Amino acid sequence: MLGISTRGLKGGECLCPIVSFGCQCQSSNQLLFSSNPNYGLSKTSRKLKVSRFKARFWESIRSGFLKNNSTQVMEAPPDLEEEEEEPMPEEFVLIEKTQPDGVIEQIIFSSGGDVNVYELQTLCDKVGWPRRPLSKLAAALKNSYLVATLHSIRKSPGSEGNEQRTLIGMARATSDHAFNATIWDVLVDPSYQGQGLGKALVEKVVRALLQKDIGNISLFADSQVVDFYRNLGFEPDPEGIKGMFWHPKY
Amino acid sequence: MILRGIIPTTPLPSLRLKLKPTRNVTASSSQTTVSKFSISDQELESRGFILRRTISDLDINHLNSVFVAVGFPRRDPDKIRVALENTSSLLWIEYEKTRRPVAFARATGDDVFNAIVWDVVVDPSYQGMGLGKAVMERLIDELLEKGICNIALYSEPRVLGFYRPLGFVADPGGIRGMVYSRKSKNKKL
Repeated sequence: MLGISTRGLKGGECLCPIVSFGCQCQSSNQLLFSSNPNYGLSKTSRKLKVSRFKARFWESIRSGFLKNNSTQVMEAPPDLEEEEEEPMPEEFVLIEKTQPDGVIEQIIFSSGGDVNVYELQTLCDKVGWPRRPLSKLAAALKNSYLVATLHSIRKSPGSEGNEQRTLIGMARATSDHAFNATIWDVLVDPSYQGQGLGKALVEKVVRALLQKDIGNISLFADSQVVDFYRNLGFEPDPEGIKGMFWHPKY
Repeated sequence: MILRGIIPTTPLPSLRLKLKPTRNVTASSSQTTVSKFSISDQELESRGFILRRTISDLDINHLNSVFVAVGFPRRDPDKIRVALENTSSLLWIEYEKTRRPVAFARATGDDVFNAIVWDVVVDPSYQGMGLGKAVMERLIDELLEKGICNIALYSEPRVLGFYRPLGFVADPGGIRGMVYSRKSKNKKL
């Protein structure tokens, strides 16, 4: 399995999209859902610690692009000051690059959660996750507190605004809206892996949760991705506390 | 959850109930009923313990006292209320005579695939009677009824022995529970 995944699934099912209460747009055979807009933005500022992390983070992303001269890494959203952190925008460009053929590709992060369930299933297929009923995927998304996505937007030169938008990453978190949140299902399209996008996804989800004052952010990591999450600030078995599963299928 | 006294590594025998846990059979009057739980609803009721599944009659301050009594930090009751309102499955036991909660457990999740159990507590004065097991067994049952088969929790080291007999396994397949820490963030690089 190539996808970076946190353990949210047991045997047969893939966790996926965000679903909202009431879709705004529906075309004939596509379902578009947006996530539960149930969160207010916290005014709590995280001060220096988070901005220090951000600086290091953007450095690590930038260093991954030294080979490709036409790649431009967008700076952190300009409203983030050193001393005071403004609420993270819901959607912004993470990376923009111009390909040799002139096509401009943007990687867009969004926590607003407009996820096409079929697109999500395609992504789950790409990372090798077992299939799950679409209705269940939709419900799981709807019941998630936060769903973050990465989309690739490709614009050909002179294409007059015709753009190709593809879902290339997703991460979601469930929560009680007050104390605890758990991150599930972090996945990145295999052809986009190795660029720091998974890190970006998780970092943004963590930041969004912190801004909503959720103090306890947890997840379950397969052994091969424990270090990945350690580097993002997660600690295994803090104070000896162990993750346990009921009759796991192992 | 913190249990008073020594935590045995073998399942806690229900000595006070005079039941054989493996058979789950209660004999009352002339009838014998089989319960899927270690202690049946009837048995609980006969001892004055009422099972509750909603927060409508729950006094948050009383619940908070139980949390504090077992060693949790005292949390803002309004935040607790928000948390409970956004919790899809919860169970508590009310003691008839005092009308107060004596055991509690809740589970959050996406209601389809995953659930995590939080805040499993039994008032120290009522521990050792199987009330913790009673709420856990029923909570798990409710989650399974919903079709959720991925049920997880974070256990303090000293209560691993409470969760194991209920069917929980630590770090299955090498999976590790991880928690975000702002401190460990600063340490990196």
